Amino acid sequence: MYPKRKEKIVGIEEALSWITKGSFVALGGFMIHNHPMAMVRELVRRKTGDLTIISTPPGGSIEADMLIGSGQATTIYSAYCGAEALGPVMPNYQRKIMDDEIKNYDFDENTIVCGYRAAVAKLPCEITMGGLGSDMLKVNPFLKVFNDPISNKPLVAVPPIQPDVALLHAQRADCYGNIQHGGSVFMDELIASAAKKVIISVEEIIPHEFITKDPFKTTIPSTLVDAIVRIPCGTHPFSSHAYYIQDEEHIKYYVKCAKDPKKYRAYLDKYVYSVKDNEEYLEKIGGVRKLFELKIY
Amino acid sequence: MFADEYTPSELMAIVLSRELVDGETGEMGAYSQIPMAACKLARLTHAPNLNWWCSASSFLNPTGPLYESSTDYRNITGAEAVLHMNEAFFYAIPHYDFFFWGGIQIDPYGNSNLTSIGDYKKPKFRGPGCAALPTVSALPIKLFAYMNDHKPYTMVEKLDFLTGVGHYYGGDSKTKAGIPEGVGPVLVITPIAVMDFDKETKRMRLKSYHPGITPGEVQKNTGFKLIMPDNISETIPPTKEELNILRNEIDCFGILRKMKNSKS
Repeated sequence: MYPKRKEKIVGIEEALSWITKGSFVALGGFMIHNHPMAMVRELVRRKTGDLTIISTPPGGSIEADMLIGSGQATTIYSAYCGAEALGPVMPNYQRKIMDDEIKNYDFDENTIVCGYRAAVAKLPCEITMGGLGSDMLKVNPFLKVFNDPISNKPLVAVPPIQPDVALLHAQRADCYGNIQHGGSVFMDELIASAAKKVIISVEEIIPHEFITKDPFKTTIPSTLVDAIVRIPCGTHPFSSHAYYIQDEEHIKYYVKCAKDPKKYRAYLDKYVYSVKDNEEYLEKIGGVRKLFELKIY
Repeated sequence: MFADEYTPSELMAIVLSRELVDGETGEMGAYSQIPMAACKLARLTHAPNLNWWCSASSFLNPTGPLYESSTDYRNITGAEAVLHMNEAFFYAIPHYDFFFWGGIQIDPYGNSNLTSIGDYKKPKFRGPGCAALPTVSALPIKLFAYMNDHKPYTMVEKLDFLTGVGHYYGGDSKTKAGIPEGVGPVLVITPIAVMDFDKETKRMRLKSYHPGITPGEVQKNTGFKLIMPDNISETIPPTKEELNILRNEIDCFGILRKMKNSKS
């Protein structure tokens, strides 16, 4: 008998127990696509508190806004927090920055990428020209301008960004944690490389043989993954690339509610706090009929 | 030969498409329906060899219908390749010829603000962040700006927050700040006019005003003094052929017709 290889499929409670008060959490996906919303709603229900979040470069959206609006996140590193045409700026993010109720560090997409790359390479910094002349360098204490000894010209040094836990959503995984994205990978692979612990929710678990049949399709290798949580439709109201499109009506409804603290509390009560799991949530947003509507590929 | 009826967003997409040069390569950010339409139209008219990466969905040269989100998976129709996004900033974007960008404020030098209005620490209005502007604008490539609102408070003499560098403060200010000299902003398109930049001062000047608008109205809606050269003309309106291709082959869902901006 050969020894048995460890499987990485776990329940959502176990996976999220790695996130504790004060954890630094990275969120994957992009703009209105692939954000790990079911895990974020569970994280809000757990009331961990005092989290520092880093929204995926650049496109954070409701996943960041909900952690801010529910009071779970007190610090954010971000290059963008909105929903494209459906809501150019996320309301809780906007309000809490304007009222100085959250610590906000403005990066741009590239400086976040540089921070992740420095962490992956175990270097004290990654360098870039990006940001020279921009006020971003004046307001972000992490970014330092220095004179490059080779060209004797200014460059920007970005320190490592190493989240404690990364929450990502992909389309398929085997039981050992090999990931296949159905569509765009966005920054997920880089985030997985930089974070200390990586939790990925997936639409479906596929047999290991499907992975080995075409290893070129593996977008994140199991070596980078600590836990797989099976959560079908786990990105709603966002799209899950190649599986279903975004629920634009619900995203607009979220943005509308989030603009008004009273309506927002009612939103959280209805769609997060009073809900046991993602299945119950999916029934509330319109159930099978709604989900089939979104499945138009 | 000219179309009778079109929306400001359709006009903007068509005018932008004429500026794109055959054989060049570029990209746009998110929330970029107008630049996406412009690239698609250019390839179907005068620039069949134009190459464009569809924002962070990272698809090369999508040919299907126009969608609201440039990162939508449905943009995959017709795509030829997929870019590794976490390498884009290091290996792809520095080699581009052009990039599209916007902002909540733009100044006479084409510097832009997407971040914050008022005091940064206690802002009157908070924008979505810095996005990719600080990095993309520091590259020596052609920048096309599109603004959905042309108002005295979006076109301002001084930005509240400088997110993306344009021509910085003119003269040799860019070199002094260590930012690579290069093309920088070449064109600003809004629902009422097209602006470019004076070669000497690097300040914005009126290039053309859209049909139905006067140069005086453009100046009235601009928060700084526009350079008014002698050869200002009316923007060449969409031709019937351009609008036909745009509506039937590209904007099949009427996204540009439904877009809201300061003229509509």
